[in-house]
This record gives sequence, C-alpha cells and structure tokens, in this order.
Amino acid sequence: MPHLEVSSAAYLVGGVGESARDGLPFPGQHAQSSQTGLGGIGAIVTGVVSPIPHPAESDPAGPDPAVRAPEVDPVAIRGCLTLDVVAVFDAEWEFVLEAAKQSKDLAGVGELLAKWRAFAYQELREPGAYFRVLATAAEVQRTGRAPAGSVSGAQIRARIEARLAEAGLPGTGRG
Amino acid sequence: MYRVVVHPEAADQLAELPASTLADYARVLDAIEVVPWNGPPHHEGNPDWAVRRWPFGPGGAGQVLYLVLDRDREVHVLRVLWLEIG
Repeated sequence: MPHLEVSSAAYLVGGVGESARDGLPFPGQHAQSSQTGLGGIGAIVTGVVSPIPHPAESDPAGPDPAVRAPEVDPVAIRGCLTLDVVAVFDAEWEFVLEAAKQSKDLAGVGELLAKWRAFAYQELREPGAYFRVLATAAEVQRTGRAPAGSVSGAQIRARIEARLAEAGLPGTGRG
Repeated sequence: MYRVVVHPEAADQLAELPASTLADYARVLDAIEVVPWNGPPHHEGNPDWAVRRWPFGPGGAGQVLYLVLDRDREVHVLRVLWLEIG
C-alpha cells in the first residue's frame, strides 16, 4: 500500500466522518479552530501540529519492554502524548466533561480515561500509531482494499483456538 | 453479517495477548461480525464515525479498534490494544 500522508488536523475534530461512511474528513474543519467541530457540537479545538520529542522516538531498538501504561489520570495520560495527539485528547475530554455536567453522570469520564490510557500506552510503545491507524482507516474507506498481509477473521479464530489449546484452556467452541 | 478482515498489525498483536484474554477477544470478533455499530465511536464527539472500538477483558484493559465498511459489509480490525497491568 502506498504511503499515505494524513494531517492530524482532520482528526482533531473527530476525524474521518460519516458522513463517516463516505470516507472523507468533515468539510471545512481545520486544526487551528473549529466552531462547529466535534460533529457540530460547538467545541473549539486549538491544536498545534508540531510534534515534540517523544520518549520512545530516539530508541532505534523499538518499544522498551519496561514501558508501563500511565495511571488512569488525565495529567498522566497527557504526559505520554505528543502535542497533536494531546489536542485530540483535550477536545474529547472537554466534550465528555460537558456531557457529564449535563447528565450528572461521571461514567463517561471513566470510560474516556480507560480508553485514552490504552491509546497513551500505544503511543509510548509505538509513537505516531494513533494517527497511522486513522490514516489506514481513511485509506481503506477510500479504496475499499485491505492492506497487504491482512487475514480473515476465520484465520484469527484458528490462531486463537491453537493458542488456547497450547495453554491448556478450553476452546471457544467456534474454531 | 459482516465479513471480518484483520489487518496485519492487529494480527501480529494477537501474540501479545495473554492466553486468558483470548476467549474474550474471540467474543469481540463474534459481536462485530453481527453488530459492529454497537461499539462506541473512536471519538465521543463523532458518534457516527465508522471507526469504532470494542473494550474487552478485565476492566476494559483491551480495546479492539475497527472500521465498519457498510458498502462492502466488512469490518476491518485495525489494532488490538492491551494494557499490561501488573
């Protein structure tokens, strides 16, 4: 698959939209400011797309196995992210906090932090993965073609069954 | 039913999943094959976004990220994230 350059700007405001199903970013949205960003909800996003040095970027040996996931805490999570990904986090944080204020229910905040803890851990281990995943999604939406090396769900299930058997665990019954 | 396509990065990540989580991961594959839009959107501010996720495992330590292609009735598994909690 050819390399695809995708600006992080498209994702600061919610990304590849539906309009998501048409495979195109939301029209008229920009990294610097969007009064109608986040699906027209009215959040203002001010992102600076200039990556800062990242702890794992200078390590040619790849992910450090000693890297640990951050605590379930917004400050700890932000500390693992580059500025362009922080802008996405902040936009979603503001959106979810506003929803929590209206609903008086903090469950969404907890879910957001759990999700971003996983994203932050991914960024620590594989810097740039957040936007690479979304670029791949945009390319698949555009072309309808899966990247080379993709496998079927049935093949993955077979691998799962093999690993379960190897570990002496019961199978899923679908292998 | 949607056809599940697993991208190479996600296929490789299977090796990183603890054996104890594999049955849960298999159940996620079962679910997204049938009701992929039931997973929450990748970004809460964009509920119709075709990039979705499906948490799994204890405390939602795992996240399957996937793309729904309605026109092809396909679900593309983009990544499988797993937090090492210890």
